Amino acid sequence: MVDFFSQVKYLCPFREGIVMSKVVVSVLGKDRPGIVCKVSSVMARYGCNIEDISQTVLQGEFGGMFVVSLPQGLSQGELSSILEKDLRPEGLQVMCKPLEGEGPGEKQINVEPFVVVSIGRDRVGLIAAISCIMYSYGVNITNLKFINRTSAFPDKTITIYEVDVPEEVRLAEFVESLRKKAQELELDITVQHKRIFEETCRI
Amino acid sequence: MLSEGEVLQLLQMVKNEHLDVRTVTLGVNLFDCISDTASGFTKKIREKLLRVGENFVSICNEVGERFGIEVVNKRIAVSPLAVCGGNFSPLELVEVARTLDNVAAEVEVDFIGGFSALVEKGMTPGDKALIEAIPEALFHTERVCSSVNVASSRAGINMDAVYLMGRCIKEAALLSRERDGISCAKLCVFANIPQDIPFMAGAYLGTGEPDAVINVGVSGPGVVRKAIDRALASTPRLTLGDLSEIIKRTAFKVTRVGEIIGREVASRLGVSFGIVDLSLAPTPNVGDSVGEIFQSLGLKSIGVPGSTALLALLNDAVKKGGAFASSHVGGLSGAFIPVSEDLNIATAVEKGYLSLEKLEAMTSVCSVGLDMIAIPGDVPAETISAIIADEMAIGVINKKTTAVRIIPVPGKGAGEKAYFGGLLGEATICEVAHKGCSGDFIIKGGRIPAPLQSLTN
Repeated sequence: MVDFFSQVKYLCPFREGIVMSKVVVSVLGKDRPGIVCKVSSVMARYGCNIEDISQTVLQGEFGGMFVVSLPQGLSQGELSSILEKDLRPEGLQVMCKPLEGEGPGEKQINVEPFVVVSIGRDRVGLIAAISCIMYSYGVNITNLKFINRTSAFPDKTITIYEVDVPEEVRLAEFVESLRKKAQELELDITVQHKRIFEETCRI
Repeated sequence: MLSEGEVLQLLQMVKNEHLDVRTVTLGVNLFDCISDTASGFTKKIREKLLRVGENFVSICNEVGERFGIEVVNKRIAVSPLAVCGGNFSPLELVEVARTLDNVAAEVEVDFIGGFSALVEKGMTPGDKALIEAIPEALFHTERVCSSVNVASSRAGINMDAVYLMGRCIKEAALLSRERDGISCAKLCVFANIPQDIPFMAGAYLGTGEPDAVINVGVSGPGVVRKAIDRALASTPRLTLGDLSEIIKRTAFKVTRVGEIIGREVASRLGVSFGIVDLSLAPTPNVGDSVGEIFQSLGLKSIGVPGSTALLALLNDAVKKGGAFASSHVGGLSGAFIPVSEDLNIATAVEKGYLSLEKLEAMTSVCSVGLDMIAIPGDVPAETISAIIADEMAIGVINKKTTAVRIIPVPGKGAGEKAYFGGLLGEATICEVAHKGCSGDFIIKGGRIPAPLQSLTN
């Protein structure tokens, strides 16, 4: 077994009071055992601390997203080329970008979480149509899933949008717009507050 | 982040299995409307109900829309009118019922309950006037519901009231003979009536309740049935213990839905949240039936031997799952077996699987009692009283709520069909064996004493 920590190049960069820059790294490639191990080992070797991580696998393709804080002396460009050099030969595509904090002009808005589910036959443009309506109301998609043919709904595709609806949006109007579009697309659409799912499915 | 299983499960329950909130009932206290004159009383009732109930239905609809769960019925329950209108004559009380009916139509609720009296130990002149007014009150109104509590485990059975109610039911049926005695579908005779029932016809607001309160009745027999079917399809060798666990978990979800919606409606209306009534309430639709659960669990039909045991299992599991899901539980809480309101149970009567006697046996373990049973129109009042007395005895001795909502269909006999329409459904008229053999017992009157609260064997 390789002891990656013996190879750490920068010593303890996480001292209090030091503001570190953060970068977002995305990794794509054919799913197999060892992808997270490879990416995180390279990061550890160069003293990058992983602060957040999420991965998903769609039709055998791995997609991972890492938020890492850089040690002093290591720039985003340097990390990018290190990852590129180490991971490209493994068939993994890497992209780095600085983590954008909240802008000075951006104000927090109050939102309410809803779950929108559309059920219907698969066709081009379903997600575009629904998500564009959401966009026009300033509704942000926080999680999105597309499921093909479940036992409950065979021959149908189901899209589950978890969304944040700004408080000032008139819910009935938003729902009506979604319904109208869904009717055009022969979709069945439901909009429900997220709490109903959380409280009935979880204790 | 929700899992797709969580989202799809609830969606399936709503779309394919009739998950809804059967009723949100707004309880309104009318003691502050008491007046010397009937006109003063009705004026105050009108003002108060319009004030408290003005936005009730629209709020229920908004909340239902927000959570994607339909609130099927919106109802109002008021203080027992025999108490707060105890100084009026039967004629004046019929006027009060008309006022309730008009206000109910104005605020667009489906039913208004509380044309009620509590007479388990004795009757005041007000109670007698109200019972006398019931047939006319129900005949002249569409939405008013009436209930009379004639027995309790602490007081025993008021047999004078039982006799009176037998006659009252006959009279109510005769008045509404053009519609197969439909008035009787809005009249319930109880033992141990709870103060916070959201379901009709028994809903009224008890004397220990707040000024205004939201009580919720959940539904979900279709959801329970499908959960059983799915479990048995994937694991055919499940035991009744395993299946009881599945019913419990399903009842948890169904009740939780009622709890969330009830709390939200109460908070928007600015009134207290009372209870969730953990009931499996069927409708006359395929897939929304308690009777179908009996078939899913292996009986050929509700009514065959094994039905009482199965109902006991079902009722217990619903209560256990529901009690865990709700902060406050009340009302009738259990599985209903209303004959005309459940397509499958109505069919069981039609095919001869289910008799009045078996129904009575089953009420010893279900949540309410003899419910929505059509009987021949020529059954004498004394026999109806005797059927009520038997049912009350089951409730009093077992310390549970029991009730009788029975419809002697004028001009029709056993085997014919009675049609009530809507949620009330239709039913084949049940044979009543040995009618006319109980009169000498019933006319004796008096009180059957309360049972011992110990020596419970």
